[in-house]
Amino acid sequence: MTSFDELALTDFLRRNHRAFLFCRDAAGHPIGYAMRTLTYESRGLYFATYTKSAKVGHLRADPEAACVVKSEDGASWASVRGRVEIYRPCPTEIARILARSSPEVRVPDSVAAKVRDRLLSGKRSFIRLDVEEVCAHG
Amino acid sequence: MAEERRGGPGSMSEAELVAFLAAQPSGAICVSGDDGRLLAMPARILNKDGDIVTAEVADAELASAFDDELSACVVADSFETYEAIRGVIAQGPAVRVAGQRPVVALTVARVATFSFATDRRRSRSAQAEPD
Repeated sequence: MTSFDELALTDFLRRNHRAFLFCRDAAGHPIGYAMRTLTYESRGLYFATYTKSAKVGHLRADPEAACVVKSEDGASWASVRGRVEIYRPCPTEIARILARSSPEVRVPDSVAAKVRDRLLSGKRSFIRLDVEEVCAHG
Repeated sequence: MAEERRGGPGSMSEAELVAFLAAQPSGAICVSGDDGRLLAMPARILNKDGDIVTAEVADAELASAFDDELSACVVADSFETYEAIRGVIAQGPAVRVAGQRPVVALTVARVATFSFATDRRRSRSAQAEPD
């Protein structure tokens, strides 16, 4: 663990949502995805993704993951890693996590609503990366 | 075998990819380290020449992970507007390039692009969603 203390990490990960999530593909090679995080709480970094997406298949086969979260201008960043859990959240958790997520003005309301609806229907799932280590930050 | 999603973002044309890379997009690179664990770090793609993608990583100390050639993946994107989201994912062996700057050369074994300008089903009425 680097000198990024938990308070600073929490603050950074709650304010910045540009992320690159990496796991291993079926051949065991690193593969990554540009993502937006939803929030960070209790050492868990949350994403919403399609349940049938390729990344879900990879992560279910091997839950080890690494992630870079950056500020929009790229000046600040954190590299973390841990293991993920993929699950269909209950409506209460969907509401709680989405309420914690910072509004993204570039995402149309219609898309945000569709994401929420598809979480409720199960077409989307939560990815929760349980952060075990902060590898570096800048 | 689980059924994979069929919709979602489309891909960039070759010309769009060239233009996208010319802007030196930022993202991250991840390597499967000597210890067998994944290590990710910020990176900016500098160029693509044939099958070689060069990227500058944000931290010289972390770049030492590439002193020996290892399996890696670089991802870069741009998000000026929602409809203009696009990016590239390149996988392959990568090694640090000799020099002062922390630059890595990745030999592309597999590349994929994504673009929200079109979705895979080419439906103009459907708005692409994030993966």
